[in-house]
Amino acid sequence: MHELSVTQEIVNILVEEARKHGVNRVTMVKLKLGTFSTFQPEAVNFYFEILKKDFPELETTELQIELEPGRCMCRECNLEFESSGDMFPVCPRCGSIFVEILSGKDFLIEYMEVEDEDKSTQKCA
Amino acid sequence: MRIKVLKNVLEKNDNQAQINRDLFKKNRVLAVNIMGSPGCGKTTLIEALINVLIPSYRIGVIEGDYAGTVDAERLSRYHIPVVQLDTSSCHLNAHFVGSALDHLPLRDLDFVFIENVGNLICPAEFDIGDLLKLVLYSIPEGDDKPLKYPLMFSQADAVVLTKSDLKPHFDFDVKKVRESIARLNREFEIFEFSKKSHSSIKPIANFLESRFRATVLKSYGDL
Repeated sequence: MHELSVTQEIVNILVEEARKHGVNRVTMVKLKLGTFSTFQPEAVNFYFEILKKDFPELETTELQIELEPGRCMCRECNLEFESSGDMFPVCPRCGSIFVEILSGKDFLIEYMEVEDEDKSTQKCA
Repeated sequence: MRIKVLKNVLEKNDNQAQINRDLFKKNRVLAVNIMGSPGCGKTTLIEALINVLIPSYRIGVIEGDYAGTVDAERLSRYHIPVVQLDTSSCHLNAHFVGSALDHLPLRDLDFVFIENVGNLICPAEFDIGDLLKLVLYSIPEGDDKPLKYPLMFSQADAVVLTKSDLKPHFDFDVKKVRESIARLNREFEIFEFSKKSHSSIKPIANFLESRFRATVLKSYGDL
């Protein structure tokens, strides 16, 4: 349920960015979601389809949410390693279950693809 | 055309959380975020803490609830500053808490207890600017909760096992709970609390007092 407020925030940021750059239409948005976050991509997409209707800039926008593996460090042997999802990672070197999660909880808007207004005008001409 | 954005989705919330945190520090207030399931005893714990801390400390409370003012009414008999937030949401966020701070006399307080919305998932994702996190969970909920809600337990400064007088009636393994949390969390305290045992609140109050002295008075003394 908490995806609603986070998706509202995504919409706010996108509209703000689109207006800042004078963009009329955002076609695609690439997001990176840390694997240790509790946000569900399906729920974000579901809310986005509803919320975007209020903004002409986002009418045809599609979200691409990429899961980003997290970085972990073993508390026993100090090995740093990648993990893709298990909140209880196990050290691949020494098998320790005491593992520190260093990153992988962030939710980032990486970039947006927009319609190039100038080019389309030129083509039409 | 591609436009780089590179913005954290929770950036606005995190910025406001930092404003709240700075405000607490500036006023030398220990803000305690109290989280746990609905019915685990968050308000009961706050009442017990008020009773034991109030002769020596000045306390304010922010009550976050999905609906209604039941908790604020319940606390009104202590004659302390209480702000009820009607969140209509599954968690408190930094802006809600920031709006409540306008109604609390922070300069005249030592502790602010922030009772989050009853929920073990959503409140863990939203920084509200607290300086200490207490996670409560009651014996009848079962000893597997840290395995099911790891993010919440990974952030706890202390875990309070509430309704501990019910332990004889449930197969609840405290050692298992401690071990599960230790996998996620390098440093945490664990307490047992029962409303029926007046002495069980003392170690929790002592913990808060020591954190108040160590963090608020020492670290922020020069602010």
